[in-house]
Amino acid sequence: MKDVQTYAFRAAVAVMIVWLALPVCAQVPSEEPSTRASVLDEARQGLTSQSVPPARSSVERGLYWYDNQYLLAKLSAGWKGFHMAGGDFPAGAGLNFGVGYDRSLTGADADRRLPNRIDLTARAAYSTRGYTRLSTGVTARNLGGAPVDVDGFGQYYEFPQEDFFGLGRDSEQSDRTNYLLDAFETGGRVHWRPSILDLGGGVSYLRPRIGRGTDSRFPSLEERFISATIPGLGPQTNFLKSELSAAIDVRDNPMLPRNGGRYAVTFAQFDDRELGRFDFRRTDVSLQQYVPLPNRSRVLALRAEGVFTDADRGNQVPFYFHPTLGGASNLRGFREFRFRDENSVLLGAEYRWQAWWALDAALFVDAGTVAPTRRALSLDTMEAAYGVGFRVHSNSAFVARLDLAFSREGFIPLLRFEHAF
Amino acid sequence: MRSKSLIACLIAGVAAATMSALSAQTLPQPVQDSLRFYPDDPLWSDDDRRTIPPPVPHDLSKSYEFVANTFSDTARSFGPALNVNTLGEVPDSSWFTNRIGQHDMTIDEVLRGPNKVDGPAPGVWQVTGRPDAGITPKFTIRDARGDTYLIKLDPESNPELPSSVELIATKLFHAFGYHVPEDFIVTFNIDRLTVSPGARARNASGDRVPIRQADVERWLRNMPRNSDGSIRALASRYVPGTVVGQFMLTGRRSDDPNDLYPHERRRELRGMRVFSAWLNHDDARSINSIDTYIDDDGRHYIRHYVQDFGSTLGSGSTSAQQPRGGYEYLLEPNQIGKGLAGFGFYKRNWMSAKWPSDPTIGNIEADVFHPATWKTEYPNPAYNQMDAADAFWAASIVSKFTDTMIKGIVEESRLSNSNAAAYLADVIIKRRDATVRWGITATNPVDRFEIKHGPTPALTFDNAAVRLHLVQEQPRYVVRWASFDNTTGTIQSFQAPVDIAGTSATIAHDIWGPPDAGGIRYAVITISTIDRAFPHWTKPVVVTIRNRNGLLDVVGIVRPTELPDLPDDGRRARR
Repeated sequence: MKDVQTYAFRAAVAVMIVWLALPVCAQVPSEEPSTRASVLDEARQGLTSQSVPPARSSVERGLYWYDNQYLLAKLSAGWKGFHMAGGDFPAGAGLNFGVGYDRSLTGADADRRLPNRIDLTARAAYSTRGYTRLSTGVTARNLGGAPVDVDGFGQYYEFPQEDFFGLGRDSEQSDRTNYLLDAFETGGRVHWRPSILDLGGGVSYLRPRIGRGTDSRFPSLEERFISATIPGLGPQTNFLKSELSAAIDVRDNPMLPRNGGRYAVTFAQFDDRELGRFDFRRTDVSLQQYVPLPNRSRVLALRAEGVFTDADRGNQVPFYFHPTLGGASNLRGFREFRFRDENSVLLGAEYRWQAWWALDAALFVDAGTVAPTRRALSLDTMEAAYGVGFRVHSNSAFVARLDLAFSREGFIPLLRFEHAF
Repeated sequence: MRSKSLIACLIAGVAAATMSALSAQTLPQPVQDSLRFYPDDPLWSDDDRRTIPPPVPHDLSKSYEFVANTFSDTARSFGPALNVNTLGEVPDSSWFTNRIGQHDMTIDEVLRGPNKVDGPAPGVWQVTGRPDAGITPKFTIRDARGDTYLIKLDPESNPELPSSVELIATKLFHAFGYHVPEDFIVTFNIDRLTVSPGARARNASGDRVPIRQADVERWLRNMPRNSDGSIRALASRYVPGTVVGQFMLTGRRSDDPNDLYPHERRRELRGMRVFSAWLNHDDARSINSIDTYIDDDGRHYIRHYVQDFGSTLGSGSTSAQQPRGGYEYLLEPNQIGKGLAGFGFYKRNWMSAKWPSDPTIGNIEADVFHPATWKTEYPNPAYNQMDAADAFWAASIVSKFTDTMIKGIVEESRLSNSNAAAYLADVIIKRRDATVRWGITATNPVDRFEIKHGPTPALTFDNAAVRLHLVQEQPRYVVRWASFDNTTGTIQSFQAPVDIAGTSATIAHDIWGPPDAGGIRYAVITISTIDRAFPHWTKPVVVTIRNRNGLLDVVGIVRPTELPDLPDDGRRARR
């Protein structure tokens, strides 16, 4: 049997050699050329009869078509101002789909650095878990050629499956419930961005409403908790929100920071316009520092965040305005909104290293706690989460991340298209 | 040992010729028969400029080029370069014209480069379009003379950078011998531009729409300005002829009978890796070439250009060169694996490179750079077939550039910061030295063979490594003579090896082989170089001497092709 195979193989090889040699032999001239130039000339004469237009393989045809369709440009730029858009929903909203519309009212030029530019934007998005957002806004940019932007906006959103586990750090994972949050908000903001400084202020009117959660896997919030223990669960109200913010941004590249820092504080005053029971102030402090380590491929990213609320005497802070911990961007390893109370502190560190020009890996640890008062915030009560992450980016901008996060409550994979920090 | 090397060398040559005959199926056997000589050898002009019918334009796919070369080896023909003459040199052709490699060039000639005019004519420039290809911001203009130029703009973040490196690289590639466009540094004000009727460009959605004056103003709004408000750019004159596509780096163009050799077997394309390494031309790929069907004094054929040197030296076309650029492919799974597993402690060599801080220079250095491990953005099938003979050929050309020439070319790029210009020239000089050192020493560097006539004729030669001061001492040489039968293409009756003093070997009167049909007789000498620092130099260079009734000349040089062992990165670079 082996001999038969050997003979067959040899025969096949012989046939192949003859077949390969045929074109060669066919061109051997009857009279041997006498110069190198004539050899080459005859070879080219022989090729003339075989001349055919170049052809593309099927794969090349497909990729050539792709090259010339500008699909990515068309997808990202859209059509006559319409384009695909996300809903900017909280984690757990499921896949979302949306359409956006952007138009400059002062000309077709897309350059946002033009003075006195006025842009109109609109968004409509929906997710597989029923999350909805409709928004519109008008922004006047670079007023008078100064770095001043003024915008007016209005939005309606409906988040039908927001998680709630109870208040405080002692809340139980088994108490997971969900609720509906829908809200209408309209207002205006002004930003002044001289150099590294960003100063802002704004006023808006909010009409949040709480309802029955639609996630059938878990009870609705009101089935497990009573309104007497959860501020804001009972009668609903409207708010006038006033806000001031200041930030210093000295990151080398905000889209993919590897050096520098960002230090921001926001102060907001919420006035209950209906019931007079929920007047409060909220202060958000966010400090980020990026420390480059030797050989430029490693970065130690640090952050400290605190959110502090103060209600007026006899008033409370509605639970849906409480700071929360857990989810994709803080205290990863715990579910979204896992801990909430009137105050929170979060510390985080990431050791990031460049595995590839378009991929960073990271080891991260988050620690945070919530408490009803600032005095009760303590390092001793901090919950910890840790994990490993992978960040895809271009040469200069972040694209997406996959964080594999662990905590005492288990493992959570997080795929997100925005930085943790 | 030396006999074994010689036999291995000859067997490899025959095997390569056989292999190439099989792989390049349409080639008659004598084309690749390097062991037989013709009376007109060595050929210095390969007449691939015969008139052919107008070819159908055929554009390549940039995506396909990346995918095919990253995930497979697109080369289909393997072995040594085929398009060389019997001396191992590249004849003039529609691809290449011997310039500084074979002829002395004055500094003025080098600086003039391919230029036949002095740049766009004075007067109004009519904006005629905006090419889709490439990533550099650019548009086309027609000047008062009717010539079309591509105006390539510098990015806001790196003024002067792409325009300067493109000008430098264009001058150098022209002097190497390639066909390149005429490039000029220009400055202009926006009021010099008017939009030509019918001019169109692709908008952000990918649709082609008419160009308006406002569009031109928008393109230029954020461009870096000179102190007088003018804009600096590179003006690249359209090459003559009708564009019919780009040339591939493998195979042949099937509708061009002049295109005889698989491109991955062309020495000027394989050896271009050395030039590209020197100048960090990491964007060297098919899509950055251009084929035009030209009318050359009544002859109509395809001429092959290399172009788009915006990503050379410290430039990455639209920004400074990425630190990885030139050191690592875009996609290298083993590097990614090591990078992931290394937790930040796996250090690539480029991570320790020190870059200049001047944005007009970008990221270019000469200390970490090594030509053996240098890489393009993704595998280049012609570059990856470069062998030691190709590298020696190219490094010999690089060695012809003097410091003065390099400084002069950098000066032509009109960098406004003289310190930056001095740094750039210094880096180019250092990279030249590293490139020459590697390419020349990659194989047995005996060179410049000449016949010393007289009562006792001798073959004299030199050692390029000694001549270029790459080694301190003159090595020893061991030669073996043999006669050569040109009728059968066989070497006969090897004599005993002789250890010679110096660089001259006497030609014995009885060494000649039998006369061929033309009455010409041949002898062969193999020369091994003995240098402890370069053990691979013992592989002999085979030199054939022709005797035409007592008139002797050197007709054949075969240099060893095997590259010496390199670090892992180097092997990967060549695949």
